Amino acid sequence: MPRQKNDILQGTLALLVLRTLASRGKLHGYAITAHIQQVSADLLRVEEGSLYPALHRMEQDGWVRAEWGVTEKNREARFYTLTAAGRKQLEHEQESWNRLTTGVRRVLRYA
Amino acid sequence: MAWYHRVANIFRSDRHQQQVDREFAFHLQERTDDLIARGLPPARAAREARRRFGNRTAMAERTHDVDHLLWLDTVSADLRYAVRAIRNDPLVFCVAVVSMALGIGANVAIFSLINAVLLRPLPVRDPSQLVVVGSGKVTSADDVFTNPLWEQIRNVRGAFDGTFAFTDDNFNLSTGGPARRVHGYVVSGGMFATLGVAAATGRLFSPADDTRGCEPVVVLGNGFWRQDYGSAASAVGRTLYIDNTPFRIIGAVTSSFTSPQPGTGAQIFMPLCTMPLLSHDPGILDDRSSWMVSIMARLHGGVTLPQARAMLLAQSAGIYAATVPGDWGKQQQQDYLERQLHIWPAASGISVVGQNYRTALLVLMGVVGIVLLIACANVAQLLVARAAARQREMAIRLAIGASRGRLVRQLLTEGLVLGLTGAIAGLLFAHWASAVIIRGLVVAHTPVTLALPIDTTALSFTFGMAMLTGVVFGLAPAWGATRVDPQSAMKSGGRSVSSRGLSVRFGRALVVTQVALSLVLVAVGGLMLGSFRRLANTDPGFRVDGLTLVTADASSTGGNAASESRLLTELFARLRQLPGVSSVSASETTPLSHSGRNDLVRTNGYAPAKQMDALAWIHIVSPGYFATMGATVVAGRDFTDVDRSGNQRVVVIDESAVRRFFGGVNPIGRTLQFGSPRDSTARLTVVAVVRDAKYSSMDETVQPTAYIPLAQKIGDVNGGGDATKLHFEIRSAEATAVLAAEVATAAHTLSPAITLDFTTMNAQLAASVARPRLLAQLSTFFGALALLLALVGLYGIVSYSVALRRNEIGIRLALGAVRTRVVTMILGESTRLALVGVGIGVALTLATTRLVSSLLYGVTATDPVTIGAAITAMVATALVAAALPAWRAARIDPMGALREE
Repeated sequence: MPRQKNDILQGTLALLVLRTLASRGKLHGYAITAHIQQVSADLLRVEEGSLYPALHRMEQDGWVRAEWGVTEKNREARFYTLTAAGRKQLEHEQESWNRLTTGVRRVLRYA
Repeated sequence: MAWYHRVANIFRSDRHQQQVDREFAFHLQERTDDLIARGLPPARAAREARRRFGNRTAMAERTHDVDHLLWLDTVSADLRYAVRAIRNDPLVFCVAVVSMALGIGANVAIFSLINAVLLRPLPVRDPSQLVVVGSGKVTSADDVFTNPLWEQIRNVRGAFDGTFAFTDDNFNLSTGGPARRVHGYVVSGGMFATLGVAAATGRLFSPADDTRGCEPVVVLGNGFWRQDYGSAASAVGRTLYIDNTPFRIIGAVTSSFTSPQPGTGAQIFMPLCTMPLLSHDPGILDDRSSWMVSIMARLHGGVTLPQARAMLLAQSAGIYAATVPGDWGKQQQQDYLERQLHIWPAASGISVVGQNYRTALLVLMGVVGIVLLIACANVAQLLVARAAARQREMAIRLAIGASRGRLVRQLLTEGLVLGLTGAIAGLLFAHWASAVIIRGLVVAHTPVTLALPIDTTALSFTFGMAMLTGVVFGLAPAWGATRVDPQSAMKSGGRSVSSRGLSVRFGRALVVTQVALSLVLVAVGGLMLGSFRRLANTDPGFRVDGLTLVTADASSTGGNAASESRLLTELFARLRQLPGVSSVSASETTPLSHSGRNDLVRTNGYAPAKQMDALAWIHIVSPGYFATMGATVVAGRDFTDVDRSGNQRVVVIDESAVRRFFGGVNPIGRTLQFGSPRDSTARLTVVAVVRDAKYSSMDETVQPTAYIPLAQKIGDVNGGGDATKLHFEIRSAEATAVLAAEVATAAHTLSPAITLDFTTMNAQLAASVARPRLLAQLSTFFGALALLLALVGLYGIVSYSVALRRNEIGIRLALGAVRTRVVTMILGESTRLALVGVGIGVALTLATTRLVSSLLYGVTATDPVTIGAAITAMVATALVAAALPAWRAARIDPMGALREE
């Protein structure tokens, strides 16, 4: 079920996480952070810790599933994967993001 | 299952915290490694990693909150919403809660009783291994055995890990004057060890305490020890006078154990070897026809019930052969030898209360079960009606994006709030109700000590019921309400959606069910009440009022039987002199005391079809008995002082005996003989005929009765005609208390060791009809309750349909319908519903009341008058329920109603 968000940043973060998981499959929190930073060329940088409340909320909402696993370096980490609900949510968020950016762009261009 | 994790998270908060910590630590470590790989020195890398991560504690808290509070938030929102919904509609809520409380409470109360006397295992070690020994092939756990039989069964090898025998009675603790009665068990030495019952102080019996000629010792029940000795260990070693015999106290049992018979408490325990002392019968332990003890056993480890049964059966013939009563007739001895020993599981012990009240309790359980159904129907109907009224609200919430699951959960929360409130109120009601019922059970002849702790079984029963009711009846409307298409529900302005018609139909079906079930309960209540009233108003054959009963026991006055008997004769004479006393008589038993004796009667020309037909009650009475009791002597003379031993043996018989034994022909001057082996030769001459009277209890059908003069007493185990214990009937204008004081003084001057019990014939009669009275009270109460619940249900459905038909009625009125027409229309609807319910109910009643027929007296289970009255009550209820809505319908303002459309 799509969730209405007032917090744009948090909503955006969710979008980024969902998108990352959609393209990269199963990832732990650090890998998600690293991926977002790498792809955005370090343009998007937030406090890394704030990823976790967001991840856990997404887990509660059923968008992602989490399980403990072991990394290549043999460290224990919590891995997140996208669920079907998460995939739907991603579509929805992407769409509203597009609407938002289109709107903002038009305003910036024509206002 | 996310909600499950959230709930689980609450209960493993520490673990959750650790997991979040581990996740954060991993992140910091990875970041540090990365930074080091990019060439930062380790210390700086770690610092930089922490900086980038932000406030770790705050992040942990936020993560934690996400995992817990989100869920708690919606729960508390649901709860708040439920409370608000309840506040908006307090009447609906109150009616629903009260309905459920009464329904659940009644069930818990009756269930607790059934649990206590029939289901709950004895509080002893491994009760599932306990069995009860019986004789004969049919299950009857109340078989009793003679001591010689017990001594044989005790020695059965292989099958049991222990056997024990016990019997109970009321014992007197006072050493003269008014008796102080306590309930006691006389038990074999191995009972406590076999049951695995521990001592609270001192020690309990061992087999060594139970040998012939043993020292009289007593073990105290825990309650008695607390009450009389303040639970002091110093009680051990002190002396307790039981029926005037000194017993040394050796210990007290642990508090969890009351007696081997649930429902019957024991203040004292004595070993079986003290039986000769207590019964004043030195030969009782060897008497092969003194049936007194119940026998239980613990199965030997590894031996199954069928194996043990087979082992016992194999030894059964030998046991009976070794104990044949020598003074029995040939045929009786043959019957005796054919008996067989059996065992049945007895984890719950042998409950006398349970046996006496089994049918009554099961019937009551059925009754309260129906009450709960009716209550549930009410709750369901209220919730369904309300859900229908809230359909628009639901539709709007669905339309603005609330999830269906969320709405269902919210309705469920409301159902559960309702259920829980009902359960708590129900528990309070049950607490009160079971106390009332137990008070009703406690009558003179059945000492009832029932602990009804709200145990886990009863608690889970209650909350299971409440939850089920809440969930089922919360969910049903939730289902209907959330399946509405939001658009159509909103368009119709919340008025005439088709599913409202559906909920009216559902409501009607519920009301019809309610009426049908209520009719059954009203009929059962009516039958019980009618039965009790008939019973209580039955003429017992004597005048009950103004009759005081005194039991005087001189057996401990320290003389021989002859001198003790003389004391009582003297007391008899003094009682006649008391002021206000119009007449006094003495007897061996008193009527309606649930005890007595009988014997076979032989007369010339009478040949019984069955041996039992020749059985007659025997009343052993003094001269003046008939006059004192106010019994009617139809023909002949009362006993006189001439009728004593040595003179002609005489007998007075009642009209039933005349019909049975003398073919209805005047029997005066003719003779009869008794079948008792010890007295079979004496011919007794009939000197009078009296009217039939109740002998043992009020609900018995009168059997032939023979009255024998006290001075010509026959066949007594004590031998001779010396009575050391007598009942006196005193007819006096004085109040019983005053009279009792005078009698006590008179007895005291003769001997301070005479013990006395006082009661009145009225009290004895009340005790005799206690069970039917309790049943009548309870079933009438539940019948009335059912009627009330049906009234509420009918009222609900009729007012709801009036509300729905507001427009229609408005139009009718606008078109010129007379208001009385509207009233009859509404009343007619309610009556039609009631009549459909009554139709089903009558069929149900006819099918089910047969189950209670064994509890009825003087009415048949399908008594047309009672059922007719129940139908009338039901229809009247329907009219009353419809009156207010009908009146409201008639006052509808046509213009207003139409404008709303």
